[in-house]
Amino acid sequence: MRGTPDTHSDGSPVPAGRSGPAVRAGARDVAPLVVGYAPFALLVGAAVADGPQVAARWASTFVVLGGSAQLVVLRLLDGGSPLALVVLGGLAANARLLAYSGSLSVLWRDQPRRFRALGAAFLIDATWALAVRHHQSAGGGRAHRAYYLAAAGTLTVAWGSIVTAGVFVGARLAGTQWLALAAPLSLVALVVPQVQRPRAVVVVAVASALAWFGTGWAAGTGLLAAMAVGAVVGATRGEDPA
Amino acid sequence: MSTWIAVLGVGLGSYLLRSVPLLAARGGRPHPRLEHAVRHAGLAAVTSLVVVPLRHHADAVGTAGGLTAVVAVAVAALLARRGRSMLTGLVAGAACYAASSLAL
Repeated sequence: MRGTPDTHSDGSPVPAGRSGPAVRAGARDVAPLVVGYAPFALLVGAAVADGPQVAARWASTFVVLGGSAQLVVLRLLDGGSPLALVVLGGLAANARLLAYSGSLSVLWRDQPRRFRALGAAFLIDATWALAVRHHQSAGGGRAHRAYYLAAAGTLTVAWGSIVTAGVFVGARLAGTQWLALAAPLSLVALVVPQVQRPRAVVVVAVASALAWFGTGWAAGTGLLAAMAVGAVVGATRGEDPA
Repeated sequence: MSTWIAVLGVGLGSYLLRSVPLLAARGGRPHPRLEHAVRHAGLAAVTSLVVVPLRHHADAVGTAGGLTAVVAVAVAALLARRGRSMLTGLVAGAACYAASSLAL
């Protein structure tokens, strides 16, 4: 269901020229994800504190902007890996961003280039999923830009703040495995709405199997394999997705 | 120094991954197959981010705890399917996990 370019995901209209409601909607929609990511951010903060050059390790929170890639980089650095391998490992963990960017390039093809360049800096799993969901329900336009930037800005500030808190208190959380479940409990709400057609069901089933059995593979390869299969299924199977 | 170089290298490379397809996009619509491919690759990636922590949790706490976690995520998924908010799913899933863990 697609609204006009100036409506919200709940269908309520946004007055022309006003982006305040979209900003509030973006910040509101990302809030549960912040709660879900918080335990993971604390654990990332603990990893930041657990090594030399803490300033550079902390800066990676914003420069890399992706917890899994950040952890890969920190672990490879701590393990004494060569610089090239550290960079390649981090990029492999972030390779999924290429698919997110490709997906949004379709939805944002009419958006200003300046917005696409800025929006790319904040592109991550949560912001991609929120952008797709909002675009499906409310379309593009100024309100969509305001929505995305508000969601991305809120997530980035909150993520950075919680990682910073984790630098100081994260070590105390070591061993609290159940906290890591908060992220999947949140992210599943972004997956389910996209599973409307058999093609998406197949993608989710295959990706789940590869992720489950590929955790022992080299860093990021299980995820890359899932993405590759998702792309092939998406390109070849029957009818269009919702 | 090498830490800074690594961080900046990954940061620059990650921005290129994020931005090149977006900035290379032209006004025309891409082929539907390509459109579906990149969209479903993204869906597969987020799905992996749901499943991998479950596997790690199962490895860490054992089969019963892992099964409890899977049930908790299933509850959150069911609520999402019924249109409930993400926060509702998070709270209900966490409550389900806590109750199941206590019962076990």
